[in-house]
Amino acid sequence: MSGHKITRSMMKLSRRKIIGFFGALAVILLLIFFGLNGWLAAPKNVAYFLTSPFLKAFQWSGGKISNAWQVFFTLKNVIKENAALSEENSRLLQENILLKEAARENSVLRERLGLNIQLPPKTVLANVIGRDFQTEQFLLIDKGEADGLTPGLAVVTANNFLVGKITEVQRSYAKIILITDGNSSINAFTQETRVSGVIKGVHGLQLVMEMIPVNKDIKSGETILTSGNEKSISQNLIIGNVADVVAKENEIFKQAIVRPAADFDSLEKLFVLIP
Amino acid sequence: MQGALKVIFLIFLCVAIIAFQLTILPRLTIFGVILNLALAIAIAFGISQRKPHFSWLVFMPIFLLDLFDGHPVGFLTLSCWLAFSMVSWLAYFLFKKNEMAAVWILSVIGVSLFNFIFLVLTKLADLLNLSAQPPAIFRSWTVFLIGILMNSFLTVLAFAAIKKLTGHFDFLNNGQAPVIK
Repeated sequence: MSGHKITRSMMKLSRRKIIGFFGALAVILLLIFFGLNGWLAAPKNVAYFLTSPFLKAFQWSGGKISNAWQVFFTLKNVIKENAALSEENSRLLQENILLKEAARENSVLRERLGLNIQLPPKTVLANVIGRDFQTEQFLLIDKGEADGLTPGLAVVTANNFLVGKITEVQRSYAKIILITDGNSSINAFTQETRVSGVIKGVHGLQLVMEMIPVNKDIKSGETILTSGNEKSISQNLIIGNVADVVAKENEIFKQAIVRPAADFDSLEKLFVLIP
Repeated sequence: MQGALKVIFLIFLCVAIIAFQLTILPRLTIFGVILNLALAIAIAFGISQRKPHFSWLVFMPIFLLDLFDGHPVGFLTLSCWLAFSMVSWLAYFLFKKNEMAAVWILSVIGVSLFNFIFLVLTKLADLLNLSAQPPAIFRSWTVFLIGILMNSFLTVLAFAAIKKLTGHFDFLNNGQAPVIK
């Protein structure tokens, strides 16, 4: 092949490459445009339909691997932990009896006074089928619009520990933002001292309660509950415990570092609360 | 392998990669970093210059991830496509020198480019209120740099796997002269 012919074929090749590059770019930009206008529900549902059997199988095996891994590392602490749990169990049993009595008395008094009896929210059981691969701050669950889910609903564990809120709902799956994400904020209050504040996530690593007035005292170890100010999040869901209180000079608000109640690494089954 | 069977096999593979990425890999975090297998495969194909017959399938895992996890959808694919194109272009020049060093350099460049473009796009989306819930993707410089190093390592491994597999599966190569012998 002569030099002239080679140059011409190279030019043709690079022209084809440039057209290919801009063609693909145009398709992706169109995709972004469609996504922003919410026109990708159908492809999302097809993708879910295709991947859900794999997601469920991998999630199950991943859970087994993770459990085995955790058992291996925590085996040496089992005896000590068992003793502490037995002690806590008997204390909680006693507390439970007292609370049941108080609840019964409360419902009788409410009936006498003619106050409305609060109905518990409807719950939808969902399985975790995937996690956000960048920050771990999103979860995918196998229930969606077809099960009555809407964005903003609270998601809890079996023992009412708040996990997060629903951010996106498709026909048969939904996405949850964890309370530890930097974009999450929830109105809350401390159980004993009744101080209100806002719970925010810090880079997916911890929780902070903000907007606490400097003149209000909160105790370390206190339980933090949801305030119920948000329409779709019920009151008294357990967020965590106060680990530390941070007050800076010349600031009108102080912060509390909160230890989350839920264990975000071992979530498998969750409950979505529909008020 | 017949054409239709090849496509089914590759789609099956893509779906398995996605499932692995969304379920197992987030449980195997190291220093708070989750490995990005879909990105590693795309960049590795960019470095190797081996365009499979079904080249759109290279981007299928990242596109599926985008559908599930995009904030907004398309930013992951766009960042990956730009990083892939840049790496493919650079590979023409760098492979004339030391091959192993070139693979490492291109892996680091590809992964860094992806992270940089994605970070800029996400910040832009946040500024323009395009995303209802933009992810808090940036934790700290340390995690960011460790992430780049670990994903670059994964890219090198993916590159080695592609190099090995192209000998066995002819449909991974379109007959173009491979850059790496």
